[in-house]
Amino acid sequence: MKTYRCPMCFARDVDVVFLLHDSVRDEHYCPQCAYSASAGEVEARLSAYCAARYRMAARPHPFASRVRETAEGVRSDER
Amino acid sequence: MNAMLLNVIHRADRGAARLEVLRFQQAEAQRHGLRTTILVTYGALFDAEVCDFVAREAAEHDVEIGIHLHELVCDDYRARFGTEEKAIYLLPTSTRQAVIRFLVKRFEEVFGFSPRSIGSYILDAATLRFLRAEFPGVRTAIVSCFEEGLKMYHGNNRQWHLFSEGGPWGIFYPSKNCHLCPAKDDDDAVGLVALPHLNRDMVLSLTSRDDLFASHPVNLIRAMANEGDRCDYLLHFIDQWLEQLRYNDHVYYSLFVSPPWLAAGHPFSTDPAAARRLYGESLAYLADRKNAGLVRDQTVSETGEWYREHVPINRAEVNLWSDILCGSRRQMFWYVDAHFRLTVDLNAGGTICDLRPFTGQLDRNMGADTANLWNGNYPYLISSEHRGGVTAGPRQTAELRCRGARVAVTARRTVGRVVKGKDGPELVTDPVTLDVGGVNVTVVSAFRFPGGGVVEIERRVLAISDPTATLELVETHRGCWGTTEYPEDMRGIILAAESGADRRELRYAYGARTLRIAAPQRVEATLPMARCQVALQPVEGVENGEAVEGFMFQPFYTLSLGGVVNAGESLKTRLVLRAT
Repeated sequence: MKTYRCPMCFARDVDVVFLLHDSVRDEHYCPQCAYSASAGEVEARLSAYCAARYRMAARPHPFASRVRETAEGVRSDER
Repeated sequence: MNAMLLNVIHRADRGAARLEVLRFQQAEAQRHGLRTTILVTYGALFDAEVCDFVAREAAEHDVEIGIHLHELVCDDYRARFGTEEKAIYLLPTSTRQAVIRFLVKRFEEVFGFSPRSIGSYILDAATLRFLRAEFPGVRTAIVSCFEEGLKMYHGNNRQWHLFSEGGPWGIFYPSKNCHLCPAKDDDDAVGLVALPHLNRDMVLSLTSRDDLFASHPVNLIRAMANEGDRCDYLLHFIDQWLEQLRYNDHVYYSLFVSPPWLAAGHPFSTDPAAARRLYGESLAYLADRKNAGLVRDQTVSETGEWYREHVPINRAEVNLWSDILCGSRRQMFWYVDAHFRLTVDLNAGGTICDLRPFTGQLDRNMGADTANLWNGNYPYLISSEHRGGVTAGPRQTAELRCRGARVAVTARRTVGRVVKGKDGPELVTDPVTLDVGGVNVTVVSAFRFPGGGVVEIERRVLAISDPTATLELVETHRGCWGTTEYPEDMRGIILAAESGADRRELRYAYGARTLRIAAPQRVEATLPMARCQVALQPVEGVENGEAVEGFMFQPFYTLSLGGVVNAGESLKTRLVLRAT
């Protein structure tokens, strides 16, 4: 089963807490803080947090753009 | 010669899975034409297949082989040393020395020569002195994890005991007395060249977890800052380090990813293919920059020897870092020499937000038999991050007073630039404009570093919106001491204010008392616990000086100098640190 970091702990810079799965309720819950949610909600919260915090992480770099630009989608550094 | 010195460091661990990663890493580096250093761990020295591969790599590809002191725990280690201690730097001194003796001997038996480099997360001064005395062939060592400490500890749910705050971020000659203090002179130097374990994001080093935002591509996956196998931050990160060549003769860059991060089954690196892509892309870009003449790839001991040849003892290093991750436009400026390390937060208008006085060269040796135990952090006099932020915590800033209002430059963010001055690099901020009691005042700040434990700070008033207003400008240093986020005992600190023969003193007792003096020559705090004295001195004379005692709820001291200034005039002060 896919594992998830706790979005609430992660937002406090604590990244080592993984959610546990409650199979009866099909819900993921945090062993550290008072968070529980469905897998979909967890993913949405983590995605939203990372998108908001790391606003410049995906800013294209000229080198990456250069080596990734190939007609077949094969990266030029592999040819 | 301005060049970024690059070490690509691989760690050899025992076992087939990790050997497969090492093979991949070596092949990737060779594909991009980059030199490597392989540091072999305890268990790997008992793994014939790993040792054979490493020896062949050394013979065929001119790879340097050294020792790494992490990954100690294995059956032989437990049986031989009778401990479960994971961290070499936390072992009792005698056990630590016995482990190193054993590893060097084993290394010599396996490879037929002595190591020239040793790596660890922390090597304290006692260990460096031991290495120098018993193994003089070891001339370069990875000595510290820059600014890993409280934030990393909290982030790891208080389970990773590594406290290495307060030292330099680059290469330096460590002092015999403290592994985090750059040596003052030849007599003071322990005799090894010290390297940091990884480069760090120099904004996030204070504000967040620099273990995640470093020259370690796979940690970006741990931080969830990647999109699959893409994270262009890594390439901008390399550019930011190359930018530092504008202010320094050299810059050091260490790419060091240990095998578990690139193997299947790592809890944080859940996509090994993406991790390997990111790793390969970092190498590819470093090779590209090498081909552009900006990067010189070396082995670890080659870097140490290059440093000995080109860099004198007590050469200052600076760093002006712009946020390239969060889009905040925040900048941090760092300065380090043998006397102190200082950080200016430009997001706080040009406020000193961190200050580590090296003048006292305090013992920060660690281990079960030391007074410090786990705490290797070098004490601060200012740490806004740990002790209340730039508004309420320790800081050095300029306060503007007009029509009953008090506003510090801290209240407005700015940016800065490094310019070449007569004493070396200087930091100059862009102007900040503040509303002080309804009067708009524009101020620019400059920080100069003449050496000898002195910072010259100039706060120049460029404009005052109301020419009839009386403006007072006060340089204010709010300090304390500590190594963690908790207040330490301030009793024993002596505050003083001096003007000619008129000298007034008080012993810190949390009494909120004030020493006020006209035409001051200096206001100072003497901290026996940090074996240092910090003083503010006017460069051209000022009207007023104060030394103010704090109280239990605000356990700081405040030193200030200032007076009335007009538009176009400056307040120039010196922040002076000296040993006591």
